[in-house]
Amino acid sequence: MSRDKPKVLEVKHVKTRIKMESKEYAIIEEIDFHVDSKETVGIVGESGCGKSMTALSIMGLLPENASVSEGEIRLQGTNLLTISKDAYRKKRGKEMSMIFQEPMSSLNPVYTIGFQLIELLREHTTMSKAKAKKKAIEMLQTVGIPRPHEVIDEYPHQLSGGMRQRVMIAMGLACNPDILIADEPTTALDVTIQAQILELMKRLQEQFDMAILLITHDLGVVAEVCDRVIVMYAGQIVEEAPVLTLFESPNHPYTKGLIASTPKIGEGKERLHTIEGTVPQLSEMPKGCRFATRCSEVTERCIRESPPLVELSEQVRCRCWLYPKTSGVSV
Amino acid sequence: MENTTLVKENVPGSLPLSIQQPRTSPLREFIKHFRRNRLGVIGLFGILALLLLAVFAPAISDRPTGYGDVTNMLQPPNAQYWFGTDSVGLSIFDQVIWGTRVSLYVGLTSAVISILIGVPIGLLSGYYGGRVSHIGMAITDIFLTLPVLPLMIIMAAVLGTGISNIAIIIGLFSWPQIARVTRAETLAIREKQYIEAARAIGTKESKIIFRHVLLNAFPPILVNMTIIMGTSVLSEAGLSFLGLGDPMSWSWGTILQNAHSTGVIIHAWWLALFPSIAIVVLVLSFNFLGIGINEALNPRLRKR
Repeated sequence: MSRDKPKVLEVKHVKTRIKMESKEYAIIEEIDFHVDSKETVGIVGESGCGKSMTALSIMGLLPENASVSEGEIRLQGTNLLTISKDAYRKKRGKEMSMIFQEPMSSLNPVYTIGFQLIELLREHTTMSKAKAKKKAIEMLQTVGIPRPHEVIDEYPHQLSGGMRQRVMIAMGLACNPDILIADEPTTALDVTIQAQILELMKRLQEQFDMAILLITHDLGVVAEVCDRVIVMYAGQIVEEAPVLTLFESPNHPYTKGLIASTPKIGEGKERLHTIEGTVPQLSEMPKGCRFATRCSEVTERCIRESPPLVELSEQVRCRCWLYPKTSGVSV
Repeated sequence: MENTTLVKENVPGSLPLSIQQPRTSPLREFIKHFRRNRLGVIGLFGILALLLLAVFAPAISDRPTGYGDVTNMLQPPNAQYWFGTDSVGLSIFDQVIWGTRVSLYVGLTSAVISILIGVPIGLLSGYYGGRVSHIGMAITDIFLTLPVLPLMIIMAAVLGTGISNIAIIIGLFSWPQIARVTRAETLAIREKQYIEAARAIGTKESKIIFRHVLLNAFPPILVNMTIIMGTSVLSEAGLSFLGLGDPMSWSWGTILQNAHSTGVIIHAWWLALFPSIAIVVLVLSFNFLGIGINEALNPRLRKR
């Protein structure tokens, strides 16, 4: 994890705004992170904290009423926010891919698996139809689909959820992207299938030399596959740390709460810890620290002023007044 | 038929190698369910029968022109003239057969025209929303509020009473329904995850709209197309009855108009009855076909 690794993705001070009922709200703010090549970075947080919006901002797939208003998103050094729409589109599926939560509805029901894979390959490469078909079968085989020669002529409804997620992964990887963004890829699957899919993603990461940005609310998944973790709360990064560090010594009260609310084997005697309350509404975002309303260690300063994201040690950053800038620079 | 079939070679002591599912494409599924739908099949056969009549009209009967058998004017149905004769001795049977051509032509042409106008407007305003949608839907709403019949009469009078003109005029006034249905479907499909997934792999926007969205929105468009075919045949009959039809070709409305204008309709009931039955059969057939297609495509409407 040394710093001199080439950065595949750099997200710098990104702010995404959404327009609702003629008012503008910032749904994500000061998002600042990077993904090194061949690295797996996890983004965790509860529903509505802006995880998915971060992913969509990077992919350029935000809904019509939302847009990135500040910052830079660099993929292999190219700022995606300044290139043309068409150039952006050409990068999707080729240099960056995304897989979604719902494999059941991610494939177009009226086209065969083969048609959709071949269409993708022919969009981004100059392959002939026959060659694209061969490659499509090869990809299905790579992601562990049995009898790929037959599946290629089948329709999405003939496959199970796990199979469809495999097909989605095959589509995501068909053009050998530099980074795969996976938005809750295992949430809709059975636990046994979840493990298979995670294992597959890990294996393919090595095979295809790509980086993965994994978005999830499941700390178990994070512990399993990620190298580094970013914890988000209410549209901001509240903590960032290598995965082991995060689980062993979490800093931010929110991270502590999250880890405490995860059930552990052999400790089933007490009630599971919960963080009281919910993420504040966009229209009622507190002036100070956004977690102040639910924090157990809240001080007066937290309500008054918003804390900066502070580097505590190498690769560890935290946004909390409990950790004054003793050993780092404010970001 | 749709049960899973085991691989034949089932050697004792060994398990079957695989359980094969029959190949099912959406089209096969559709045919399977459509065949079970009685109304739909009746409608389909009705339309096929009318199509055959229209195609083979020259073989079945002579084209009625000028004066017919003047010694047999206003004959009621009999062995020689199955549907009777009119006031100039022409066979009503021949007129009805030849009228099938005109009616089907008008139905198909106006349905195609309304698809060509309605589908793009509905697709684009549904997919892009915002200003595009406002403009598209404003035009659609304006067309829906227009007093259609007077305008059709005026246009028919201005353009001249050719049968193609009639078809075009009817088509120009039937598309708003298609546009609305297409837009409603597009609005739902646009939000589907497979559309987002298609965007995420860099599919061109035009491809997303015209391949991914359109094909999924197709079933209700098809159903509405059959309904439009039925109503445009009705409109054509109405226009012809008002004397705005093509005097050079026989349509069912023209037969009714002749019966009305010569004032014999009170005495000669067969002049009105047979073309009316033809109109009813055709419109019902199209509607039944529409019902059949709809039920075959929509699992919730399927009866077991």
